Amino acid sequence: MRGCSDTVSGVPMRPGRGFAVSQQTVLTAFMVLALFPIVLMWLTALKTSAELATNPFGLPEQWRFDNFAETWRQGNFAVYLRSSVIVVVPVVAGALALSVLAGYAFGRFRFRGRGVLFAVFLLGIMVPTEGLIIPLYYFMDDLSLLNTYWALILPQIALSTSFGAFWMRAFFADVPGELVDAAAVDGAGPLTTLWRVLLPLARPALGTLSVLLFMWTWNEFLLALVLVQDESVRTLPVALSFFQNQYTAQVPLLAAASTIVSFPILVIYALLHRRFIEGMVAGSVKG
Amino acid sequence: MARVTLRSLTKRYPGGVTAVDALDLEIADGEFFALLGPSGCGKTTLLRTIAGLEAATTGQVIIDDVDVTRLPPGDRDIGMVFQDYALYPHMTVQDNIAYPLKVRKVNKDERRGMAADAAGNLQLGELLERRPGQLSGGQQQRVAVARAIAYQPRLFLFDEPLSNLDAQLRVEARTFLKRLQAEIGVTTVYVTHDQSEALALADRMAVMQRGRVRQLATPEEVYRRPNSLFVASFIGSMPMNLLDAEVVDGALDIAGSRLSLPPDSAEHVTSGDRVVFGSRPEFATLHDEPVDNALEGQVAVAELLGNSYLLTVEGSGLQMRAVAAEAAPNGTRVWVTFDEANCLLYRRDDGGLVGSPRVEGDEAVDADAPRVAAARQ
Repeated sequence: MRGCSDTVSGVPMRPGRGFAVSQQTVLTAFMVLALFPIVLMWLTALKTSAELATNPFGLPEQWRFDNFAETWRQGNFAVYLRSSVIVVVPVVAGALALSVLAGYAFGRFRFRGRGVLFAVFLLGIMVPTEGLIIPLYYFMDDLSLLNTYWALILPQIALSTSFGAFWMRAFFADVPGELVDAAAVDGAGPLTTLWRVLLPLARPALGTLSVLLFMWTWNEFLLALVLVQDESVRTLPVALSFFQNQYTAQVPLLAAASTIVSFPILVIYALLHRRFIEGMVAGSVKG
Repeated sequence: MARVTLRSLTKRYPGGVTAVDALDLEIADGEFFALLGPSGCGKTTLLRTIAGLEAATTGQVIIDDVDVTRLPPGDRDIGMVFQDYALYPHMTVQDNIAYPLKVRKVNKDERRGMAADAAGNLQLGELLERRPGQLSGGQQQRVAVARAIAYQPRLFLFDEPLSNLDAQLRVEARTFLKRLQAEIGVTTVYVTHDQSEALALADRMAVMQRGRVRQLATPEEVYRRPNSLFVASFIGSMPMNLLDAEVVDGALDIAGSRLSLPPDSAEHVTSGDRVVFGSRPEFATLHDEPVDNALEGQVAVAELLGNSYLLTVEGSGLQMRAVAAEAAPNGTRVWVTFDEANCLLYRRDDGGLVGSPRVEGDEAVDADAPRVAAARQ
């Protein structure tokens, strides 16, 4: 993001000391806003209910790490975690593979019906899940897939691919044509070009897409609530909601459950955030 | 090594633009052939059609008696250097150079050897482990050339490979390319919009306009006898003097002054013909007193070229340029004569050289356009 701090809406300006200070202040304020609920959740998860009533914002007097173990046991989270993983892995892998292939086709090839087909893909982004859920329910019922992992995996691959194809198309369309031409002259076919030349360059875009897909799939609630009733196939977000209804009074246990459910997202983001940011700003900085 | 034959090759884009128009061309084995023209003349499209990166609308591309018109680029046995080099940013120099070999399943040791040879040839030996992003423009350009030569194709295609280098480096790279091509003797098609590059490098060149070849000749011929006003105004680092004239009683009348007819044009014109007189600034001489066969004017601008000056002389509504050993102060009255052996006459209506076949309708009209532009400069 070089050039960001010294350019405001295209007009070059010399950032003074005051600018730097106010910039830091604003960023710090945003950071506090973003972190406050998370930290509060962690602190709450480590207190007793009694202590929470008297000391809601301070550090716990006694750090109750047992809360996590208790929540894990009582909420049966081992089962749900397993379900979540079983759903997330094929969804992210499948959607990534299909997004790359579809994005490559839309971004680099001219074929009849490309515009119409791409518009159909975009529908997947524009129609909210709420609008799809009832037809989807009957569809899954017809296929006898209700209450199976497939009911969660297949629709989410489809929905994710519509965004993923859109995302990857933007990347592939931006790759300089000469690079693809050079690969063609060097004897590479379309798939070799994709695999050896374009995908290595697409790493930031792929990284960002993986994080987004992981996040969306991990957090998916509505599909998991409606298409699956069987407890053995239930995923973490739905389990969390059931847990919440059962333990309304036990706020620290709820906080612990939330911490458990959100933990993988935080880890993935922490590991990949550099990639993630790279992908988000790719194309916005030219030259 | 290869011979390239194009048979009524046409490339029409979906929008209706005809970039290459029924073009016939023969490029000899081992020849360094330049395609020159202003932007939009179809030269790059022509090169890309030879490469197979664009599909020909009609016509044929034949390499060594084999019709390759429908073959994908990778099967045409060509090496290509692009304007922006198109190096693979994620690969080292060595991997870039070896990539065409890798795709063609040459085994690892052999391709390392071939890549190292090509790199050595282009003084890249030290840089094999670097990535393109860590190289200067000139080095990137050499890597692109090395990638094209490493697998020893039978045809090289260059698409304005020097246009991203700064002026000094460009001349160095030019000399280098010419030597390299002479050494390995591979047939080369070189696209450029820079006439000096085409003149310097090519064995033979085609000057293109609107998807057609306007002149096909050696650089010497194109420089000395441009066959139309379009080529005349396009070739030469200094614009050619192009002056409206009329043939009167076996001589030329240029804005009231009389000039004798160039000897080899005399038989092709008759009294009353409206023509354009052309002569390069290099063949003009300045006199400080009245002489015969001269156009009179005053020095308006003097520009230093190095060991000589380019003087712009204006008078009687004419503007002429002449190269002179000495500068003259602005306003100096001078008489300009032109070396008769290097004067040309063009028909004013279609822009063709007098005595040459007439140019067909649509192109004749805009033959005038570049001359007007050149005169205004």
